[in-house]
Amino acid sequence: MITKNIKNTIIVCFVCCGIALSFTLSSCKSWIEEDPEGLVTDERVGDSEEAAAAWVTGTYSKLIYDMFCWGYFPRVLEFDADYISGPDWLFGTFGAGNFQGESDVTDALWKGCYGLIARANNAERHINVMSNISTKAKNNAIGEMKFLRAFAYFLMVRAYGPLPIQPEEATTEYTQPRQSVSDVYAYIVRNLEEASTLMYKNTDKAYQVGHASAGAAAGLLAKVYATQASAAMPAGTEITVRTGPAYDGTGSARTYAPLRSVTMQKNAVSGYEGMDAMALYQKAADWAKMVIDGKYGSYELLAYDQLWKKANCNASEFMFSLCTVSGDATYKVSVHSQYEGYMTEQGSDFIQEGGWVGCTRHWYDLFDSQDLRIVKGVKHRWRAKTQRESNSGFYYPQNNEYTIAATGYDLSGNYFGAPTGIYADGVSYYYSQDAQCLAFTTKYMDVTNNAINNADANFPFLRYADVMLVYAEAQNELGNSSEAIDYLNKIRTRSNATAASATGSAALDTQVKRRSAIIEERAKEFACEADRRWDLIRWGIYLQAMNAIGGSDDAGVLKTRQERNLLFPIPQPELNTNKTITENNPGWN
Amino acid sequence: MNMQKWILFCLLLACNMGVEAQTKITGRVLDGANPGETLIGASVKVPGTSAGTISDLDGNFQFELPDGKFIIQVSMIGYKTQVVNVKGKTTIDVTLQEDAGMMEEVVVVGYGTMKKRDLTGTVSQIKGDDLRAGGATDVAHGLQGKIAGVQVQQSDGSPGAGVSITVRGANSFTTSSQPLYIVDGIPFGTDPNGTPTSDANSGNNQQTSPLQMLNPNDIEKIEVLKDASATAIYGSRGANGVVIITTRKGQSGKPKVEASMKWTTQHIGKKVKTLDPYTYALYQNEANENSRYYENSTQRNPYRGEWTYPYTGGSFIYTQGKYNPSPEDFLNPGQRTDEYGNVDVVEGADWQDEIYRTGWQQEYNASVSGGSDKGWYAFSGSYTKQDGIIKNTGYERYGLSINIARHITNWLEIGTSSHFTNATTDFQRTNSENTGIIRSALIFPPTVKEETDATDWLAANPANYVNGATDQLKQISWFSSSYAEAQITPWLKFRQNLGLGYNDGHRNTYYSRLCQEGKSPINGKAGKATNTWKSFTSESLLTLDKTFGIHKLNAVAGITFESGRGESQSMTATNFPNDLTKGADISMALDRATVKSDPETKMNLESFLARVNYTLLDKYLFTASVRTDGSSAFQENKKWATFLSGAFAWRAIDETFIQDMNFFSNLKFRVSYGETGNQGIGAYRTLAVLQAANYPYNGTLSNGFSMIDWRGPQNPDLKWETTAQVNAGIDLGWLDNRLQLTVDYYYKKTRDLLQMVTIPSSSGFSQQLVNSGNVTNEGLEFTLSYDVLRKGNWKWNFSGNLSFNRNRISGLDGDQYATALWSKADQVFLQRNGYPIGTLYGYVEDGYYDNISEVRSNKAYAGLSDAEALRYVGEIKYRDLNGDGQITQDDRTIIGNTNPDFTYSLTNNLSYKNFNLSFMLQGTQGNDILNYNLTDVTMSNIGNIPVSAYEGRWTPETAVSAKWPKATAGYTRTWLVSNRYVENGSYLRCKYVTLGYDWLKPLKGIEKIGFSLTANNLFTITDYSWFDPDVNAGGQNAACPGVDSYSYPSARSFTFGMNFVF
Repeated sequence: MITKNIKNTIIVCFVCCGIALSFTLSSCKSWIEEDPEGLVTDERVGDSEEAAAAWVTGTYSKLIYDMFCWGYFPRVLEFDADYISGPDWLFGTFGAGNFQGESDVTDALWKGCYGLIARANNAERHINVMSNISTKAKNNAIGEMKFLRAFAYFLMVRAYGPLPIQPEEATTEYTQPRQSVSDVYAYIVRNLEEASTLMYKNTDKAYQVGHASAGAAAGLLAKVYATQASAAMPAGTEITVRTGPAYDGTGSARTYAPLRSVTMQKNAVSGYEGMDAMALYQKAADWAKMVIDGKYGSYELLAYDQLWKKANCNASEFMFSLCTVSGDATYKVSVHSQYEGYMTEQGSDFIQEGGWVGCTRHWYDLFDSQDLRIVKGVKHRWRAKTQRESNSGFYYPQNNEYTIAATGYDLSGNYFGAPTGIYADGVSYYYSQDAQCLAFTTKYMDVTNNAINNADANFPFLRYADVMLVYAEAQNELGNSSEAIDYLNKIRTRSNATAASATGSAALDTQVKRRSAIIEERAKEFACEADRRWDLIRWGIYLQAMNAIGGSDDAGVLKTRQERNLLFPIPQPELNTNKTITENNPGWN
Repeated sequence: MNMQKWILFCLLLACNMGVEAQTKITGRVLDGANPGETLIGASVKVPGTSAGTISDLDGNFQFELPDGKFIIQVSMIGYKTQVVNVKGKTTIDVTLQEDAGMMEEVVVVGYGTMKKRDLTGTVSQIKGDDLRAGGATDVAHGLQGKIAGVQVQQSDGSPGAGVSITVRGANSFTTSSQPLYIVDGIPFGTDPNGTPTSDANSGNNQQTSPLQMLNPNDIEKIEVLKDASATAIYGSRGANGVVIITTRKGQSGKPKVEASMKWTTQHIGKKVKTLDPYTYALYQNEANENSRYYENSTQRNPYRGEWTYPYTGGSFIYTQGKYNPSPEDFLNPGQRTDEYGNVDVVEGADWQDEIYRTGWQQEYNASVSGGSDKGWYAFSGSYTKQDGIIKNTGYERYGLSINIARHITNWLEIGTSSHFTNATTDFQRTNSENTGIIRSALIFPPTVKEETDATDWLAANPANYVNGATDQLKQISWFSSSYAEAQITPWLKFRQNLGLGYNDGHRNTYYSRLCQEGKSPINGKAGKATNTWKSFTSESLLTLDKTFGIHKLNAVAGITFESGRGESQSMTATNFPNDLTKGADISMALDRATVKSDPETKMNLESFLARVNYTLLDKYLFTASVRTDGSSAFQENKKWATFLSGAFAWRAIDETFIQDMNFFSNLKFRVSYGETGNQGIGAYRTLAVLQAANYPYNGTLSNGFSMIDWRGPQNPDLKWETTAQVNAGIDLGWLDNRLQLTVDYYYKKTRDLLQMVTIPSSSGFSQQLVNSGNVTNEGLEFTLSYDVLRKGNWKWNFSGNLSFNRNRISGLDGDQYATALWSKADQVFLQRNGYPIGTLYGYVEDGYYDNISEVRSNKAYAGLSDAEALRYVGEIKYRDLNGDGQITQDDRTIIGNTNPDFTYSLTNNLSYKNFNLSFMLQGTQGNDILNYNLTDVTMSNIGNIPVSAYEGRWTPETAVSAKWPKATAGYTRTWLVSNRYVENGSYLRCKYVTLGYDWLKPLKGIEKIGFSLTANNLFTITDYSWFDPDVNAGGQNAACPGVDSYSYPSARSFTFGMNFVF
């Protein structure tokens, strides 16, 4: 009987314990609550100036991670143009006009820009409802979002034509139809106009270096208007481009061909029909002038030797650039690696890897010989690590002057004496007529550490010089030739080029000559800044300029283009899911 | 044969019994299997009364028969129950025959056990011995092919590589399709963080399976719950089936000591033949000749047979000559000298030979077990070491298991099983798409000397790679399942289970500067990653088991709580001063360290469950179950879900009219319906979580936040996937159950699929997680076992299974594609209503352009000049399916299906006296494989190619029979995903052949020494061109099944084993 009682007691205790445990667990209400204490949610970012700054920074961040960090930028903006070149493994597909053959590169533009837009929209929604922040700071933050959004649409509208415009308010409808080019531009213009009033000027105390400012919005707006205006110019408008086949002769006898002036008749640019070119040029001129007059902050051209100094990478000439940081594993940019190459170690004379992308000989020959943009702006000697053993190096360009200085012989093989100048260092210099020897820019040379693959070379999106040349272009089309030449010369004289003139031997005495000179100046000034393709497109001379090369360029990259190359193909995933888009851009699958 | 008649006769007699006087009966229970032996503990009862007894140590029994009762029933587990009429007798010998059909076998089901005869659901069982047959070192490989409807696929042949197990077809394309594993009652291996990875492992798809951490030798049996009636008790985790693993316990009797050892050699099963140096050089020269002819290139042949001298300063430096060999030079390798005294060596290499080796494997197990009516114990230890057939790969595991239980009183029992495992896996980068050892070995130019340090842009020198890459995963798993069980009344018991688990994975990765991953300027890349997972399970269960006359009731009700806590960290660093320490000391890295740490993952589950089994007249069986689950992974209004099931079975064999037919020895019909769920989404997945998104405004990073792009827009309405399943089955037995057949038909439909749906990228996101669409799986399973010879010296059993499954997607808004694992096959897995998961989509090829006029006949090329048109000669012609004159994405069509028509296996066991021979054949039929390896056969760069591609290349002479386009040195060829990459993956494999001999009582004190010789993967009959058709690079990603992407070749192995029983 006693044992029976003990048994019962133990059982009761035991069962009670089990039940008690169950109750304890179930009564702690949080058992199946989700508690993301280690995570940041919308609510936890908060309502403050810092919170707004965090949303803004998160939007800028997209520019690096993931637009630039995978190396697709500036490649997708840069490689499909006449004066740019590089090795065929790098240029052979996208750079040869086969946009769908390397769709990860091509699609990066669409995906990156729309990613930027989505972040800007989301950030703006969150900042809009903040109350614990000063009006100025709030306006500036919202203005920056509008600016980045407009910037993204502007990059895309030139590449794809009609675009879906994403609603700014929160939505669960992810499918948006394409809107006409003019509607996209209207949207860009509205955003930039608002941004230019909302954002800080670079002279405001609260302005922080590295951010876009009101002036960037105004300057970009001038460029947007000029882009529309040039595209809307009548078909048949003449532009002279100095170009031609890369080489004369074949095999070992081949030599670089001299520049040939080709006068091209502008094609109509699809999507811009019906726009009023002159009215748009007037707006471009007005906005550019307001920037020049300091209405949106203080801007000035840097002296040429200061222009590409690391210390000046955020000087006022750089109205809007991609900011970079040295050696970060996530926020990395390969601009320095692509255009300059990084050294085996700091202080070394040898390039470990990179330095692939350069300009062609034709581009080099566009310049006056004393122009600092080739005297200093182009590498004249460099050595790859593979040349260490043979104590050799490359020189550029392969013309008489540099060949004599570098090798002691002229192009015909006559001996002139020992190498001179920078070549008088005992190293054997030679030249190779292929992708190894191109006009490599020095714009991105000055970095904190040049022996790493992700050095901190900022990439300029909009320079004050661009606004000035936009102004010159607009004034020329509006018929104010002297204003046009004045502003063209501000850029030319900065780098010691001979000033252009309406009279004299190389007189810019017609509108066509001035137009051509300004477009050519842009090719020279903004080389390796991902600008050339978009000039050719907006002026409707892309096919003419590319096909004038007659096949392959200096490095053997195919430059022949077809109609379909005028627009990039829309990415397949978009076509597959966006039911409002029934077919791709002409000529693409 | 006459047994049934006899029983029937007895039953009839029993019914007609009159009332008689009480008599005493004595008797003996004899063992029909072992003539002359008696049975102890057999139950002797008079049905319908309380009279009865149990046979004693000598098999004798004695008791008083109640008045008028003459029928006694003698039963014992494992034997057929006998009913005997003893009228007019006072002594009787009853001989019990072994129940070959194991109808009394106990089967573990969720939260309880059942007699197999009482099952209403579909549960397959595999015994430990059958699991171990063939000598698999891990549980998953042991299961392969052995259970109908359970598809086991290895990722590739790498030791320690992941395995995916799919029960009755994939239910989902985003969430896990892996079954729930239960070890000794407690969920096992549920770590959602999986295999630890650092950035250094990016692009490496190699995963491990949780089952790796169990030693097959510790397993007593495995039950696989397949239909909803069986799995619904696991509610939100039951949809993919449940695998219940029971570990070995001690058996009553004297202590049993066992030791076994195995030694194995492994060899590569099949090589992919690539070009030798001579042919490769010819191929490269031809490519350049073609480029000059067809593409107007000016490049010279790379293999010229001439001396070259550097040209600097206007003159040649003749002291630095290098020899550029001609193809023929490789036929006669060796030293070359020129007129200036320069010496150079011509030498090629076979890179596959450089990375393969003979792999040794050894395995040791020891165990001690025993028990009594007071409880049991089992201790075991094991050690396994396997060297892979690729250098620097291998797997090592040691483990210790303890399983003990004790009856504290006659009503209280406590027990625990505990398993400690330590495993070390050495991976090489295989199963990857861009870099990796297999890729290197296959495509690295064979004309490069072995010792060359070249790391080409295309691939790294394989000899350096295989030594320069380290990818080691160290795992520790501790798992324990404990219980206390109280028998409150004879028919009611309470059981409290407590499960604790701890998993710890450390992964160290290093790629030296001679690997592509670590080449300059990276200068060595190291990664360290750690995952830990702690789990807690509490289950309180009340079980009722009572018989009321013809009614039998078994019911269980319970409350369970589960909790998991996971953490993961990783760091990656590059730029090491040298490769000496291989990243062992990551602080030696000069810069660029990335540190990652995920917030602690917390997953909690709270459940209420109940199940009732009701048996009427011992032949009509009913089961119903309910489970309500609440999960922390969902938002407030979606947290709870209830899952119901019901089943009915009819033991027709117990009906007299069936017995009268005298044809069946077993006949049972089962039908069930139920719903189960899949909560397979990660913690916090329904919340709008932000990530750090920084920006260096003026050269230093500022902190910012952004949405997480890959997650897509937030969706707070996410809920469980629900699978409804109907099952109808029949169990048949003939010839005294020597021949048994089970057939099951099922139809299951999963709705509200949790999936990442592609959304227009113009939204800023590429995908969103939603509940959308359905997947249906419908199938038939056959399991057959036949004891051809059961008695005497010769014994022969063969068994086999055959499974058909048809998978179908429905309810999608439109076509979509699986998230791409492979960059060159972005949209190859089509998800379309009416088609299965694993549908391959792409272009169809239509031969080659043999001449310019054929090029021009294509509308798109009609206007090309001769020179431009010439480029296309010898190029692939894709079929213009919609006839619009252009090759666009609309010309894609369905080009394959990776699902097999059926899978099958056949096992034979043949023994003569102490010799036994067994073998297993296993295969799949009708499935396609996406051979991604072929995307690197571009015929247009310096990469080596398979011999078949070279022999099949287009040349003007071979235009008619060409299988590959012309060789070229240019880069302009665009490859489209076409039927070229789809191959028939059907195969029939001899999985193992084992010959064994048992030497009984060889010495005093030794019961037995067993010897065995086993050959694994002896032969494979297949048309598949690459290493092994048993491949699944997507691993546990159900959306991309059947891809081969530089998989690790499978080994053929030969094992000698010994085992001692004391």
